Amino acid sequence: MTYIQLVKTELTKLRRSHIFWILLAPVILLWIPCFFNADIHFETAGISPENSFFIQSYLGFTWFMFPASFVICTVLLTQSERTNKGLQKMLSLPVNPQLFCLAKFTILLLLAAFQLLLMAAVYFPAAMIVSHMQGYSMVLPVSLILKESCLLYLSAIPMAALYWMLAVCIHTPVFSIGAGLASIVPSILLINTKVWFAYPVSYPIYTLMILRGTMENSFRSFVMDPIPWIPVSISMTLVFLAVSCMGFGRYERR
Amino acid sequence: MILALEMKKLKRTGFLPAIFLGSLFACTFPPANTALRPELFVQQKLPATEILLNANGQMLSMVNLLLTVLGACILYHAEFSGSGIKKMNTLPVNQNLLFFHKTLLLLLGLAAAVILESCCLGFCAVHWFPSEEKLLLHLAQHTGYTFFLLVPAALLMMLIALSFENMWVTLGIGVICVFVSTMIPTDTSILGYFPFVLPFRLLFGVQDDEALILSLCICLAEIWVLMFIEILLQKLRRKLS
Repeated sequence: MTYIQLVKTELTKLRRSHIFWILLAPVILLWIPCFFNADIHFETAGISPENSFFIQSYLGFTWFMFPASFVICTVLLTQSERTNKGLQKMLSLPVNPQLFCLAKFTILLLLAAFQLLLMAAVYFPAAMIVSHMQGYSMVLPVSLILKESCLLYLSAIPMAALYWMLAVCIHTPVFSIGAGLASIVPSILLINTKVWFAYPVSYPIYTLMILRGTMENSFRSFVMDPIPWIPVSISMTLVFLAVSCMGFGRYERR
Repeated sequence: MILALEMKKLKRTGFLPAIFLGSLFACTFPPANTALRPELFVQQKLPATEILLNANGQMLSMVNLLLTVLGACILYHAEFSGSGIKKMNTLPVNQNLLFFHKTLLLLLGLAAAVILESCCLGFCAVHWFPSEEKLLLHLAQHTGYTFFLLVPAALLMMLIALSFENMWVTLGIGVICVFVSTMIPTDTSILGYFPFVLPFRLLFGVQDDEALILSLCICLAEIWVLMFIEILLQKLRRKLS
């Protein structure tokens, strides 16, 4: 089977899962508190209300829900193979396991892209409703939202590789989920240290912090030096992917 | 007898090491936080437990909630993964009893986690605030309050785990609940008493005795309501299947 065929098979498997609703629910629930306390964005000094509205909502999403969605999706991708020994059946077919592993990783990336798209798609109606309620335009230009979403997405790829490696290599689900959820908590502490580039989970939130630094005068400016970051992140992604490809199906082949 | 059987199942899922490692992970925060900037905390004129909780309480509550979600996922995943629940249904075992025993095990695990975290807070208090009185009393109060407020969340999470066969749905709903409750301030009137928001309340953050008793009463009421819903759900299930 070619790579494209494998991805298509995976998409068929996805169709029957309820992952769509689980990706959609937090994106909608996130905006509900914004309607009740929209006026706090007018009180923060040094940042315009529309920027504050965008940054606060996206920060809430990026620091916890975005990585946690990756953990949920990896559970979906691994568990849907384990029920009824699906992976054993797949491995007995003439399929390259490494390619199969990469196809599943692609699905993970697609799901992440889908959630970011949903987030951007819900942002505009939410911002319009709040603008209407407050009589002040809260809507930021489409180009800015799209650019920031793309940056968030690119910076999340190493994190996706890390979670995929955890899900593939740790066969006991309680430990892979636990490790994934536990890795989210320190990211907010690590972005304030000098070694943030060594921790892939903190990349998306760091990206957002850079934007916040440019929007808010009084806020400490975060700088992203490409030199340690880009080589480190790319090499980490490749290592994670290589390890997950090697470990894929090892438990079933024993 | 069911409890012993459940313990045996639990041993093979890795639940106990996960709870232990999770609470150890939570225990690294207070010492690290205090050791990195002791001058910020030592000068405050408050009881040591309160200073430490103001700095780390939210983080500890978050970890406890995540452990609840994880534990509930795994407890019912063990039943659903090999259609074990169908086999259990054919045995002369009361399904409600099974649920409550599983919940009891989850609560025991969470109690261990909360006690371990309190021991860690106690260590920090002794190390950085040597001249502290009433430390044991404060810690005991905090431990009891935190654990009691976790019970509704654990029950609700077990109900969710019971209702969905696929673990990612359970995990997804649990994580979404945790995410939403991080955004709701604990002092909001009705939403502040949602089972997942309750654990974010800290004993010393409550203004007066009246508010404290109110939160305890609401917590107790939620426990009764959730148990009642569980019995209804099991009845409904038997009718539908």
